[in-house]
Amino acid sequence: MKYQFARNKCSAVLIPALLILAGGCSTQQTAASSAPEVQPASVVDSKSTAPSAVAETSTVQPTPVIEPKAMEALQKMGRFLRTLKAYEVSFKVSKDEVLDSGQKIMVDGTSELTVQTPDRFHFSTKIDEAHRDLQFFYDGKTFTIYGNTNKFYASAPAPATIHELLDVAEERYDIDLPIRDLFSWGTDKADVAAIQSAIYIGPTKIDGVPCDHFAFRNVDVDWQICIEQGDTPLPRKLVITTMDEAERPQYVSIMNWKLSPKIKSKTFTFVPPKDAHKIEFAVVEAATDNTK
Amino acid sequence: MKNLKLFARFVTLVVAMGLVIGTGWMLPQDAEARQVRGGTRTNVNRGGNVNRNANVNRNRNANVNRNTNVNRNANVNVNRNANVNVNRNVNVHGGYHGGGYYHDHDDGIGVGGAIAIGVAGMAIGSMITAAALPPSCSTVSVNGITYQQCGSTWYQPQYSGSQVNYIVVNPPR
Repeated sequence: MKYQFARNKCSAVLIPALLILAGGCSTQQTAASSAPEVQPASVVDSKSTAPSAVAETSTVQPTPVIEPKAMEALQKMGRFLRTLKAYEVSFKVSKDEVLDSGQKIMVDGTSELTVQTPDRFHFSTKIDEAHRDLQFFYDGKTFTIYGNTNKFYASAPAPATIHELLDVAEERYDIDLPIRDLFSWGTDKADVAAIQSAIYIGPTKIDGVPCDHFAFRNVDVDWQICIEQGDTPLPRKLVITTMDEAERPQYVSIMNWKLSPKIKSKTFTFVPPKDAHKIEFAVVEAATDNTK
Repeated sequence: MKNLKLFARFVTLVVAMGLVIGTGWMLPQDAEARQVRGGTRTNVNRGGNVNRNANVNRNRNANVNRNTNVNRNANVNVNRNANVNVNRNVNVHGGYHGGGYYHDHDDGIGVGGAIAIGVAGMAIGSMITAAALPPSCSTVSVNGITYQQCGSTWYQPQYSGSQVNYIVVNPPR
């Protein structure tokens, strides 16, 4: 059942492509019933791919598939995310660390995110094996990082929106928070144009919640997402495979959502504990030097 | 009788050797630096420069990204030092004294290995990771600035990405 789309799409292929693809489709039908792990060789969606382009490429290598269903699900999720004003997300995270030897080590952690759009969030993240136990505060005016273990904190004036803050954090302070996607989907910051392949894998359950599993390919990442079925199309699981690293390390995030939670306003503002010490951010200064 | 004594000695010797070898195995292997390469993506969407090609104003961002790559090269150098266990200063980005930028992986596992342990006589401006700090240091605040004092060597901690690194500075007092 999982790969039924392969069969359905075969009948939808345009006539010029039919001759070329006939062999491939019949192979897939056998594959779908006997060996589901076999990738569809060249499933072509009639809406998104011109027949001429198909004729040129499909005989040599598989043509990337963009299934409208997958793209629509992504857009729908994005639109829904953008309607949320305040929410909490608990993350269970697994991340591949690549040792110098090339060996991959998967470490586990947890994170908590509290958001009040457009200009407040609190994000805490803990990966024991990575000696990482951090909190990030953003209250629309100030951005602070605080290490729960070393008690060091650094603060900087912050821009007016979460989007801008995430950009500044990454570009100026080299802090790439793993929450960017939640704020990008459903906006023009989501790089939809970078998606080269989009397929529907099938229904599944994440933490008991019925979801739809989709798989995408971008230029530099393969990624999979499970989107909750029903009226609240939230991302429940995200898998990112980094394709431009030789070891192809993966990042897995399982999300548990709490919509319209009770949030205390002081959640977002950092108040240094008595034993905390203020230090500075190392600013990525080379940036400006190189532009000269 | 003599043979028995000899045998007993032999057994003792074997047991003793076994103990030595055995405890040798049991020694903590922390001394091996396990440096971690960065690079595992945690977001599908890149920073605020997705539409940079379509937007002239975004060109600045493209440059920023290029710099990120440059910094990753610095990281490679650091790792090399760690592997050969050179107990010397890791001078990343010479010339960026104090405000320098150093990227060790944000959340590398086992960074507590033997990475260029800070020693007296390190050049001012050298940078080390928290794991490389000497064992007995204390956090000292002088004129509102936080220092890490390790014997006669003073460090100024700073957040490089999500990780605290330590720059060797002149003693503030």
